[in-house]
Amino acid sequence: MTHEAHPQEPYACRSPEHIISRRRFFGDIVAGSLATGGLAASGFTGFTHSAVASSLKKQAKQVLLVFQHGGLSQLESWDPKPHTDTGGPMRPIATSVPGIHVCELLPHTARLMHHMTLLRGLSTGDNNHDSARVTMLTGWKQGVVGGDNPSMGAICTKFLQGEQSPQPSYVVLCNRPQWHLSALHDASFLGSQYAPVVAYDEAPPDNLVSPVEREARIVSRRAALRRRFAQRFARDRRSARTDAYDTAFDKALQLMERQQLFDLSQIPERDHDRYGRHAFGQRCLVARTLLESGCTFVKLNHGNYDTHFENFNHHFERLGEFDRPFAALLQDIVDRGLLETTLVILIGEFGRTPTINASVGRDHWSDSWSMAMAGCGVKSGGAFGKTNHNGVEVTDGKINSFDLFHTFYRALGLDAHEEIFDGDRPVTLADPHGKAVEEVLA
Amino acid sequence: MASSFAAAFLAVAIYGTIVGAKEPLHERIDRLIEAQPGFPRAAPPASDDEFLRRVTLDVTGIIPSAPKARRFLADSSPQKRHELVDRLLESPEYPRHMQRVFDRLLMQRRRHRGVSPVEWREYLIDSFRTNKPWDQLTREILGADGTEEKIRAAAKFYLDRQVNVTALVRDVGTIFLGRDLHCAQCHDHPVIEEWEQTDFYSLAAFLTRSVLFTDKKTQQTLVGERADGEATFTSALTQITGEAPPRLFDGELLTEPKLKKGEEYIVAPDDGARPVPKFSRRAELTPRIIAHSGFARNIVNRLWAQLMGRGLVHPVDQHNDENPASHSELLDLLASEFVASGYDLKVVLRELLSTRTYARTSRLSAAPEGVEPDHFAVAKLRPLSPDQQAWSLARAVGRFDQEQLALVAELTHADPELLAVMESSPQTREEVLHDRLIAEVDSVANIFVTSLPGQAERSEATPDQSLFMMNGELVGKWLVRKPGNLVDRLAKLDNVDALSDELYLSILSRYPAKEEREWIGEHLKSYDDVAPACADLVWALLTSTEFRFNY
Repeated sequence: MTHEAHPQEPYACRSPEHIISRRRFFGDIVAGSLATGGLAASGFTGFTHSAVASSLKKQAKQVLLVFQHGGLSQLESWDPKPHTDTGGPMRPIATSVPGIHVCELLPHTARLMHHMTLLRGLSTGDNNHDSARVTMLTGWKQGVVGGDNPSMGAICTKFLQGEQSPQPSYVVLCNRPQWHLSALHDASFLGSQYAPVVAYDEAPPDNLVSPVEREARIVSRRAALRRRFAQRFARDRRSARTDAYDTAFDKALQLMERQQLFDLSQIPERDHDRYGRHAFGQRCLVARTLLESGCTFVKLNHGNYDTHFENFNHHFERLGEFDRPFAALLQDIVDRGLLETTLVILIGEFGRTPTINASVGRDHWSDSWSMAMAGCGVKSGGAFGKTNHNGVEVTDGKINSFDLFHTFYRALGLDAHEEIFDGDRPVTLADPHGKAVEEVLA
Repeated sequence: MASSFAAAFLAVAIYGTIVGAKEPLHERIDRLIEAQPGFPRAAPPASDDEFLRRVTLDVTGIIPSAPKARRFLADSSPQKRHELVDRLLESPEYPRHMQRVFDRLLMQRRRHRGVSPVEWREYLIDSFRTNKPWDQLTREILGADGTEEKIRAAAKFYLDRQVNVTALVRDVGTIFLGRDLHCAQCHDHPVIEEWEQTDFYSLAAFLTRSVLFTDKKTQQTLVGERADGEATFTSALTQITGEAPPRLFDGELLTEPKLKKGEEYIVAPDDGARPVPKFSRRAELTPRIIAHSGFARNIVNRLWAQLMGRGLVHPVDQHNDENPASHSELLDLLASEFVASGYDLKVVLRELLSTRTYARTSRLSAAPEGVEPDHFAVAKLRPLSPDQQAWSLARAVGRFDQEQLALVAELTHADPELLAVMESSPQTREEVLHDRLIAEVDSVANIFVTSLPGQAERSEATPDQSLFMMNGELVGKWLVRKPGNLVDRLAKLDNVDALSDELYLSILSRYPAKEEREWIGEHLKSYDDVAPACADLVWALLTSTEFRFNY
């Protein structure tokens, strides 16, 4: 591995948390390759990790999950293999972390690498879109125990949202045809109270906004009438079920009151320019608003990366769309001081074959691929796991899909072995065969 | 043939004696409920309007129309509740409702694959119009292979599950016998000692040779069967491996004829040919299921739960020694009377609907001290199913009346004959209106579905549903005044009392109380224009807790 000198960018976020954990991380993983001068000069070395951690407990934890569906190529993103038979035409570029290179299609994200962690040893053993997608959203292979498992989003909503968390607490932003786990599937046996609010395309969630001609006055007048009738019925027939019915209306009203969260016209032009006016850029802007508002879990879909044909052209286009808004979003999360409490996860079903096929494409591949994460509970500025010279096998730090979810949950202060109940059947948060990757946990 | 005729004859004879000689079944049911040790004091009978709405929803799946509510409430005959039950059971809406209930039970809103929804709907509704006995319906469904054109739709149970043995074992056990074995798929049931892993695989052994076959020419799917293949399993807990012979729970082992190698098939498996063995294991399953003591108990318990809000065995898919019925003598009685009646679902329904137990009030203030859910001493509040909710919304806002008006306008010149048939035949009218409304109503029902495909139907309240009611385009359309719809009818009434009556009878099937009339009066005063004021009132009652529940 060669280490190029890279243009040192000033860190946008000089939080001691980042710098300390980054140093530790490097001590563990890429010892000897770190230029320590910058750190010593920063003057923050006197802070202790635990003092920082306790001061951060006040803020509830949040998650941003970007699902790169179809299967992002690890070679055109987090684990380039230049000058090899599998490398393809793209070049690697330096990042804000010395010694870590990513594909040239991610120039903006590369500048924020000191906030991120790469996992380069994924070996997940499932090359099927449908089943791998479910595993990568739930931490379980389906059909092993029977019954569907709730998604990480629903579980995080259940465990991380506070008593008084504002609605919505779990939002999915995607294209209508991309919605593979329907809202109810998503929460499975946890029940509809943990199901996501789904906003398709660039529109607010269905039926959230009153038709134009209906005034707010009418909404409140009708709600008041409804309440009056409901109270009369409850006098003699109140039960948990009638309460749940009224609660659903209250929640819907709360959502309507906060419909401006989905209103892109409220966002300054300058931010539209920074994020881009295409679907993914707009989605990232909504995600930013939601995270700022305290939403527990935001899932963004981006794709399609299923590049069996013309892999390089397609990645050029897709990542060209992805890079700038994602980097802008991550930067804004950092600038708003939210990264310490927000776990950012970039993942898809699987990676793509190192071998380039006859259609200049790459096929499904789950033996050796990569993902990126950042923020809450994880170290920053490093890469864990290695593949061999041309990326066909993991040589170090191999992790499976269950390990990932144990890691995610630990990073959020949860235990993947904790039990939830499908009726009487106890089910752990993720498949108990996984093990958290200690090396990347802060 | 002869023997089944004799059995049917005998059944009728026995049934006739029982009903003729002893007190009616519904009396015996009430006696067993009320004689249960610990039975508190029964809540008083439901009021007329409470009973009307409840029984109409339970038998026809939809609220009564305003004129029918007026007529029933004005009727002073002491027999009017019995007459109502009879009328509803003979109405064209009864088979329609049963078709939906049994579709949800049997198919659980799975994706349509082998049989189209329309074919299946027609098959089921015909079955309930002719009051097909439950054993016969079961025989058709579990015996189907899709080749018999007349009852091809019955094969939907297998075909839409793609003849997947795991799904079939779970669903045959649950739906027909009330025994949800799916925990025993991977290991002996952790809680219920009686259910072992071998039970799952012994049932699977009847089905494991069945395969999904696609006819290359017609692209039609059919069920085929191989002559070999065993149900083998490994315990996820003990790692012990085994092979299970075909056997239904503690029934006798299936004895299979020994066939010479090469002579096992009527049609041998071949590319393009549906395999048909000389000895079909699957064909052996249905008679064993019907003969099983759980077969009758399961369905009568399901009917009980549907009407009373809770099974005698609760939950309804947990029939086992560790979960006895709350009233075991009653369950035995219902099961034996059901068998004696020739597996007649309508007979059981009619008796249950005629009980005092069914006809109690659901008012909690009228409930006795110390009442428990399994006392059945007070009626239970039940959320409307997605279908009941959607069809009732359509009726309440006047969609039937609007379509009826539109039809008359369209058909007067185009097809006066059909119009005449519709006027004389309630069934034709029901079918025509149903077909005109089903797309719209199904789109509404889907918003209220909170069970996943392949799961038992349940009804939960979600913010999505509330948002749909608040801002949905369709709901908005319903509330705009149009000829014949509810807002239009209301806007034409010029006094508050008449308007209040029509509003309440159309949506809640009752007359408003004094305070409710006052609220309506107040509300109307605050508007200059009557139609938008009515729209608010209609909306508030459609979204009221009272509308959402069968109480």
